[in-house]
Amino acid sequence: MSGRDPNVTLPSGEAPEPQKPPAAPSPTLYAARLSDPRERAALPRERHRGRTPGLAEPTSDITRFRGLLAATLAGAGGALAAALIFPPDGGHVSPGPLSRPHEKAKLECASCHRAENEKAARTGQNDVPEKVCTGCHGAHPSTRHGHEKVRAAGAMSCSTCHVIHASDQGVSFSPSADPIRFAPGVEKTIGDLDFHPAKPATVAIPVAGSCARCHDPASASDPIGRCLLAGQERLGPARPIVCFDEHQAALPRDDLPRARGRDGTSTELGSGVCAGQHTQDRPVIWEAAREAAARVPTLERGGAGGAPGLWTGLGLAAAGLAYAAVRGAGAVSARKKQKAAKAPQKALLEPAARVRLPQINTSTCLGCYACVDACPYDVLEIDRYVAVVARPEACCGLTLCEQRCPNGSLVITDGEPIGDRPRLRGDLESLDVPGLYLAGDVTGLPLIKNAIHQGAHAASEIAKGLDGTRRAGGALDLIIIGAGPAGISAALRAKELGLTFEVIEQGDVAQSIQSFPRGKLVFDQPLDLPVAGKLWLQESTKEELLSHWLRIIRKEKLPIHQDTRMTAIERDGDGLFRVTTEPREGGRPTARMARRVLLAIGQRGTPRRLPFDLTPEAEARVHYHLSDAKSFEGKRVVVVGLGDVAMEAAIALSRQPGTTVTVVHRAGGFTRGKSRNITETKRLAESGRIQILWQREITAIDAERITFGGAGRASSTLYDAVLVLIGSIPPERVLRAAGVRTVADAANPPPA
Amino acid sequence: MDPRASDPDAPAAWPAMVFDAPVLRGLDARARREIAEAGRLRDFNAGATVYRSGDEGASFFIVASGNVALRAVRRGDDRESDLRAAGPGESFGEESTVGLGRRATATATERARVAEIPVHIFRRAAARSGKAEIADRLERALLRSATRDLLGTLAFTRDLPPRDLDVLLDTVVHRRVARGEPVYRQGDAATELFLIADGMVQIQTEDGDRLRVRAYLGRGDFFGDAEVVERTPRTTSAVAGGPSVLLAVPAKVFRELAAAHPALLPSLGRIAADQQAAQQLVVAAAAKNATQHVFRDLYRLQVARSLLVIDLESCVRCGHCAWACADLYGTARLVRRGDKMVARVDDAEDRGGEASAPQQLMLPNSCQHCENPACMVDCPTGAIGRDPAGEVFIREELCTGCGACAKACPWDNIQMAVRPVAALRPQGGPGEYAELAVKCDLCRGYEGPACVQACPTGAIFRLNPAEEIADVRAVLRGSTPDRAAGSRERGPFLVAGAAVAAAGIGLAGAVMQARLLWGPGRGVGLGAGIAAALGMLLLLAYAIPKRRIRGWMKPRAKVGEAPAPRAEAPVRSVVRPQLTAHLALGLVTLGLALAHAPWPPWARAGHGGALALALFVTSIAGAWTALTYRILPARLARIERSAALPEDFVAARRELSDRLYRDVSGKSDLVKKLFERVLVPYAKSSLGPLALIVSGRRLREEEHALRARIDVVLEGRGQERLAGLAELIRIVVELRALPAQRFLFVAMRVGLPLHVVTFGVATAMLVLHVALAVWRLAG
Repeated sequence: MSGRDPNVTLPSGEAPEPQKPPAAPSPTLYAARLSDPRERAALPRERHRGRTPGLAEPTSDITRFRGLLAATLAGAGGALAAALIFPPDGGHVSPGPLSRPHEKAKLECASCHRAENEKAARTGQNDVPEKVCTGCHGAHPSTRHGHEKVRAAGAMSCSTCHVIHASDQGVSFSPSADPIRFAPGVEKTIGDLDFHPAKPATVAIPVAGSCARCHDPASASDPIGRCLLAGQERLGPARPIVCFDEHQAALPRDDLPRARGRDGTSTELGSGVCAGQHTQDRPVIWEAAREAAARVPTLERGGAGGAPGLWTGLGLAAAGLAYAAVRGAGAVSARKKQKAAKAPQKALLEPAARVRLPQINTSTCLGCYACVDACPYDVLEIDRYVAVVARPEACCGLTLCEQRCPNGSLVITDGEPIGDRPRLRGDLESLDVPGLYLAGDVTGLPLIKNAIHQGAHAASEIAKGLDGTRRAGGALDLIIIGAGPAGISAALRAKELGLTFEVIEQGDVAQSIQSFPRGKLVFDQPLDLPVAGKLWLQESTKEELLSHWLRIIRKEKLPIHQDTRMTAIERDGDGLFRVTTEPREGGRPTARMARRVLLAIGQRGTPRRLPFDLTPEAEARVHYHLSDAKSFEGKRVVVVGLGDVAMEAAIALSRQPGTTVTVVHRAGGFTRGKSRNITETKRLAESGRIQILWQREITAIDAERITFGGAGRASSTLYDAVLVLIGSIPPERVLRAAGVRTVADAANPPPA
Repeated sequence: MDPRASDPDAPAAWPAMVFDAPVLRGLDARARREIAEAGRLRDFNAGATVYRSGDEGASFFIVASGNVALRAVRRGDDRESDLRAAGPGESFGEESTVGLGRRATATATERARVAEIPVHIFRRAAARSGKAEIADRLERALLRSATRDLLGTLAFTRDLPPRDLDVLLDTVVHRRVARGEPVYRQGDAATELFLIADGMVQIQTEDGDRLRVRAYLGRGDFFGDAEVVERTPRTTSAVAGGPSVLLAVPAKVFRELAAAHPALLPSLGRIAADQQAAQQLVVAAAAKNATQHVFRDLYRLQVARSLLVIDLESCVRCGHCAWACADLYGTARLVRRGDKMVARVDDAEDRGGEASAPQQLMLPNSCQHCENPACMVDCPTGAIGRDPAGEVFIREELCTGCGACAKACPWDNIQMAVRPVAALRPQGGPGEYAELAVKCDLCRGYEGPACVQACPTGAIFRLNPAEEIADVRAVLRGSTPDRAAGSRERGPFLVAGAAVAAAGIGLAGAVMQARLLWGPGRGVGLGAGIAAALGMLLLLAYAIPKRRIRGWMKPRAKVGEAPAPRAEAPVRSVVRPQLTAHLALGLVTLGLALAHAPWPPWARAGHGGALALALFVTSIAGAWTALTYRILPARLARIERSAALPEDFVAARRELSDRLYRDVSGKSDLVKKLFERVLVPYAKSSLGPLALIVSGRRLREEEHALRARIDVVLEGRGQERLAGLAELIRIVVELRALPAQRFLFVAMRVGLPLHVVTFGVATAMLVLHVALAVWRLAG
């Protein structure tokens, strides 16, 4: 590739001439939107090294039934328990409650259901034998001709009409109290019926449903019609029967002896428990009963379903509780696990004290790429099926590779101590300047995630240190220099802790991330490092991460001064810092006072510029980072430098239609960079998409042309834009100016 | 394959003819011995097959005596034709050195003795035989030989005279490209013409936000010729759909060939045009009505042998598939989340082999058992294997948990899980091998996959897309065997019949009870009660075994070491007929319960009433579930762009709104105004999602409706300033669809837990009721 024509005046005849591609050669078969991440993901795409294998996690498909078994068992158990604890009226075995007179007489099951009587019931005969009732009530069967015939045939008994547990209704009159209309398990006082007999009296009121076996209440020709009240047709089987002369004529006989008692054996009418009621004024009482039946035609058991509802309800409540308990316990243990996983935070707050390098046992190494993919800096490579340390100088000293190695073939070993990192305490405060804190890349600890973490930590430590101390008039609690990952994170935490603070940023928010090429995947760390709050997104592109951050900044209204350069930090006698700033484009400096300062200025520092002054016209065409290759579509772009950043920019630019990319590099070949970038750049150079000018430097730029020198030749070309990507001035100067010394400085103080 | 025909202990028996073959000439004695020890001599009778086209192969052959004919289907033909014949001293099957499967069928034409040499043994022996140039030369010879056979099957070269073929052989370069890797990009200089030896390449262009695929090219096709002839830069990009082997012909050679054969270029153009027209016919027709059609990732469908798909229009999102898998293996090897496609699947049974209407299919994360598994290639310890039926599986005892396979799988179908204590692990080495790669192995030890068998609606099934998806088959021009996919016949008749029966029984019971002719404790009423109790027990019997997958999964019979091959019949859902029976039985049981006790049964106090109450509540929950299962999946499928799990909704919403605000920046003022006035209120409307569900529109129809609304607002003004509006409309429509999806999801998922819990209560009440009734009747 070095054999390329050295005549670089572009566009020239021999140089490949990228032109607007001609109209599409064939119709579209299928079109995909690249802006939709799902469509993008489904397309065949290159899979770069550095991916994380996905972890199997139980989805809601699997967890959705968790706790359901416990809930079901608890529900069943709860309902059963409720049924046993709150039995229905009359107990579980009862077919239903008794109505008022029987209730008051304190009848028990055994009073009626005696062994010899049950046989009949069990044979499917629902009606209880007559003698059960006549024992107390005396025998006074129906006097109607039809009923007598049926009764003689054995098809009718007392309980045929007076269905004890179901429709055994009636009304009770008392000399003093209001009348009471009753049915099994339910009573109702009739307040507006002013009838008081001399003695307490009770009248039974059967319902039409009991007669339905023989009679049709709806038929006009049926004799039962005479016993029904008009206007109650819609009640159907619940219609009260108001012929009360069923068992005797209106007036009783006078000559009957009194009954002996409940279990008396008398068989005469007027004997038994009711004997006292069979008085002369019965027709009057019947009339009152008719009135009562008209006023309260039917009785609904207010608590109808009360017990079933209670049991079912309690069962469901128990189920709900059990479900909540199992789910809650699961959530608590998951949180505990998460907390336990967060434990090794300490190690990631401080940069490594020594050079650390992976050491690989070649006899057991599998060559599985786990470590290669774990390394964010392409330190490791696979060579002949074994991992080797290819770029030791880029090693960040974190143990990501060691942790990923499946069989322990790779261990991180400590080497030489690192000298050029700032001296810090564990809480990130400078050892040399009390009150000055550092966070982010500037401390020597890389990775966005760590920066986020450090920023938050430093802010918390500052708040802790300031707690209770006097707030000096006019001075802020904290000034944060730099609005990168660490700065934003610190600002968020400071806001949370109620500090007064401002953020100074020389460029835009997260400039270093903005200058990543468009669509670049921001590294997703292969390990479950402590996720540092809401700033971190799993495997996101640069745009996604940035828009996420900008949204947070907008929402939290963080006081960030962009385009403001910090020029000096001084510490006065009271321990207050005076931070001097000026607008980036030049202007009046401003001083701010603060009790604490957090330096989160990163490692990139200020981009290194071309070594000569530029005219304003030229300056407008010179860029120091590439934020969006698309904006250079169709332009002639010169890229200065051939590091990773420059190569990535050149690659991105070369993919724009109609863009001419010329790369100028001082050296004669590739000197550093990730192998992926080098391979791609070489390929593009071979195919003519990128022109590389080796051993050349830019000597002058005017508004139209750019002039190259070096290697004894000079040439010039037209250009639209220049991208200067030749690294940056490290932030050491700022640190030194602020009084922060490096570890090496402190060990061997430079001669004064 | 034949058993060993010669004694392996007698390598000296290898005839000299073998080592005199051009590809082996120059090897020293030690290398010969090594090769003879590792290889084997095999005898074939006339007509016997050495290997078939499509077989895997890691060895090549040299004919010692006799004659072997190679036959292959040439690109563009539909039957096999003779490629060449290999006589004594000649080699065949060299395509294995390029890492390809067999491209031709080798058949002995007369009784032949053949030496089979494993490629890696040959390489090692040749490299050790001292001189690097010998190894190099031999390798080149093999490669050349392999290339010759390849060129013989390609449309481009099949009619070239041998002399020109030789020129090509000398100049072509093998090039391997990984999936997604560009062969060249739009604007590159056109320096080569490419022939596809294996894999798939798609020709595409990009304009701004859109990627447009112009052609799908497969094995045997060529591309990149037009620009070479025209001497222009590439007008399109060529991207490998899957790992491919290409033969690159330098532009100069191609131009010379074209000059020498004036008929070559027109014929090439004709071939390309025919192919283009054919693809246009199929793909464009399929694409017309589907935003997510099958051709988004054609390679995936080409290589998948057993692709798990879920018919979204009948999938009730219950998750039984994943749950069954997790129950069986501890970790679910199936994540019900993935790409969605619209395809016509063959349904031989129902439609006499004709393709059905397009179905909305989802491709969950589950191994698709590729023809050429990337995971198997990448595994450093050989833990991934494939059995003859094509099932790819992981051997626990060799898996170190390094994750290479998970990273290699282009579709994320392998996950890492914590290794269970009981699981096997590799021996030796300093590590503890805490992790294990897990992926679907089609339930290797059982008769059929658990997910398919456990699906209550039969929505999930496995298919071979290259054969069973009509459009894919047409594009790949594969064979067309009529194999039935998972059966999707609807069986509502049983349920409907049961409903009628239940209504009849219930009505009769209610009338008889009201007339006091039936009572709960006697005669027919008692019988109905007993039948209802039995019915409840049977209903319960549906729920419990369903959850004990291990209890009913039938293990596969073993033949020696390996499991016996499966029967050809497709695996069906076991649970689905059970669910139908459950529904029918539930309805009948309800009718019986009505006949047992008068209406309304719960108005009575006591256990009878409680049982009735619980039974009716659980029936309502069950009926709700059944109804939503029947009605909602199709509705949900209409408004889903990709199938998601409920836990993804929050992230999806955030991602969409991020994209929305990002996309609106830089748009014209008119678009921004529309965004503010129309789109944002549209997306934020709280009743909007409900309206979307009620309208029953598809997302695309909704987009059109919204666009129409905007056009009404605009009254035809400012049409030229609407760039980028379509994308914003897409996003807001999806934003509105999200809560609607969530609502439908909840509606489908809420019934079952309630049904289960209330049925538990009902069962408790049944126990109480029966116990007391028995006690009472017994005195």
